Amino acid sequence: MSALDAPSHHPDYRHVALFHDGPDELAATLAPELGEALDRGDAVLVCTNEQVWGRLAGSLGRRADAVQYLPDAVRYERPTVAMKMVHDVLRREVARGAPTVWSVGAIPFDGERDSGWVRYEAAVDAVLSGLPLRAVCTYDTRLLDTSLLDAAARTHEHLVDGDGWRTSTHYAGALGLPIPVVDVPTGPAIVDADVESPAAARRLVLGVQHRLGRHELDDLLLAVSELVTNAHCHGGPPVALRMWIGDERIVAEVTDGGTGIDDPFFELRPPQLRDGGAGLWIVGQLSDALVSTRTSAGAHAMVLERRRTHG
Amino acid sequence: MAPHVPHGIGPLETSPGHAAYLYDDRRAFVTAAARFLTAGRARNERLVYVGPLCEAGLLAELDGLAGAPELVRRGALDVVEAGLLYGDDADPLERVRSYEVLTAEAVATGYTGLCVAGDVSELVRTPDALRSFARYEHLIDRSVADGLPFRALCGYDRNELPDPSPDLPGCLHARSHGAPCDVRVHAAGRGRIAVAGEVDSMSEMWTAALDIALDPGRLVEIDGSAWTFADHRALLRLDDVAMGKGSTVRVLHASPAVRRVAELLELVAVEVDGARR
Repeated sequence: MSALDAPSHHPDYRHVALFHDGPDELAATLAPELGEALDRGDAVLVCTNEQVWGRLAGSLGRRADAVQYLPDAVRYERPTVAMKMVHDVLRREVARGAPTVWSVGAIPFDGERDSGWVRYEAAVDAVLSGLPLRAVCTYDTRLLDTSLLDAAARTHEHLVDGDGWRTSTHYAGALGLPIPVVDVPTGPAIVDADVESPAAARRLVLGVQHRLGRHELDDLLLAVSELVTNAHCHGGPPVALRMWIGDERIVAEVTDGGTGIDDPFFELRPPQLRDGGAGLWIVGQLSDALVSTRTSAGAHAMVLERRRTHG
Repeated sequence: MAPHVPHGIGPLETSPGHAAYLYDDRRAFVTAAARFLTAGRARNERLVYVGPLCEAGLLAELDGLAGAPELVRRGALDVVEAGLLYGDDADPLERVRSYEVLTAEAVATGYTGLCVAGDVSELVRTPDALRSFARYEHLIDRSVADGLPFRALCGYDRNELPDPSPDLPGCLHARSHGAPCDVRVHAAGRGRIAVAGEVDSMSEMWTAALDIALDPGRLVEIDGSAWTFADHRALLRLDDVAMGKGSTVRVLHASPAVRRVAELLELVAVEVDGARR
């Protein structure tokens, strides 16, 4: 089975885009259904901003006590982290006996990372549809650009708005989405060397540690080590590492002699739902973007981008 | 993070504790052993020299230790053929007990402790024999870490060590010569073990060393203060070994790098202090 084939759908699985014109309408649309779900023993996770959560909790009354609330900034730190969190909650709550898990979220689109979040939405079906999940993604039509609302109609099979529930006629699932790109800097790399082992790659990262923050260093050591291990195990030689450290972002590229990766959502698929190791998934957790691509010379390359936080 | 620290490099001959010496040329080990015993003599330790020759042959090659024949006559030096001292199938714990008794006798007769230099290559020619001897090495390492006045330099002919674990002896000592280990697993005192260095998917000795050092059916505490790096497979293998032994592992003083990996994994039998779950 190729990764693009939809895995078998769990009968309770739904991925729904809910269009609303503010917290009041969102609460009015969602609270009755969430209340029934809680009464049935379903688990409910809500990841929105405080204002939306406050309004929804008000509508749920005492039943809101049974809801797990995570601020949107925590859940949506980056797409790979968001996927891990919903999957972790799903597995935990199903193990505890919840028939279905509801995940209500509001992705904090910011104009900078939106393509990554659209990709995340497109991956949800491919990654999670075998599980008893009701994923309700809320879209505020007053605040969001039309292009994002259109994208939501392509990435969600089910839509809800003031007129009720319907099936999206624009639904395209994972198909037809652009392949993500990380712009590899054109300037000289601060690290540019063949690497015979993950340990050798870590030495190279340690060699530029004066340019990195503490967390950046720990995360890059792990990410680069995992990428080089993966390159040696699956791609084969020659394996090489290049790194660029700029003010806004860090880019690391590991090339190998292999043909690349079939799974278009390799960095988003949790280890429990994939064949093989967890190395690339780990790297995905540590990166703002991770792509499988080719260099201008034709070699397969894994490229990670890490945005820098200042102050 | 500190730059890569090559563990275990230093003047083994005068160091306290328990060290491995992997050699290509046996004469190099004999020279190191003579220095080690000379330093022991200066500390007024009772000396033991072990090797693959008869007593006369061992004494003859030990000309680097001044006055060795006289020391033997005075009972300050025992020279013993390895096979006679250890036997072929001695239980690791029995080997430890016998050295603890010898050490206690040495102290009771006025010495400050026991100092052993031994070429044990002929005792570890098969994988099973190596595992058994390695377990003894680890157990005596625990006694030393808990204060037993015992020092040992354990010699191994690198070319005679059996696959697939030729680097295992070096990996199981806090200090060694000729064993370029990225990671070391050794005793840390009070029943703890210490992991030092870096472990990744290419660390071949990691699983074998854990298999030797982890006790079955109990809580094992690992001092992780010198454990600078682990990739995800390293922690999963630790989890596997712990589960296979019915033990649980708690990693204390973990570095941020090791904590970070633990946070990303669902470990069953391993808990890393400070890792957010």
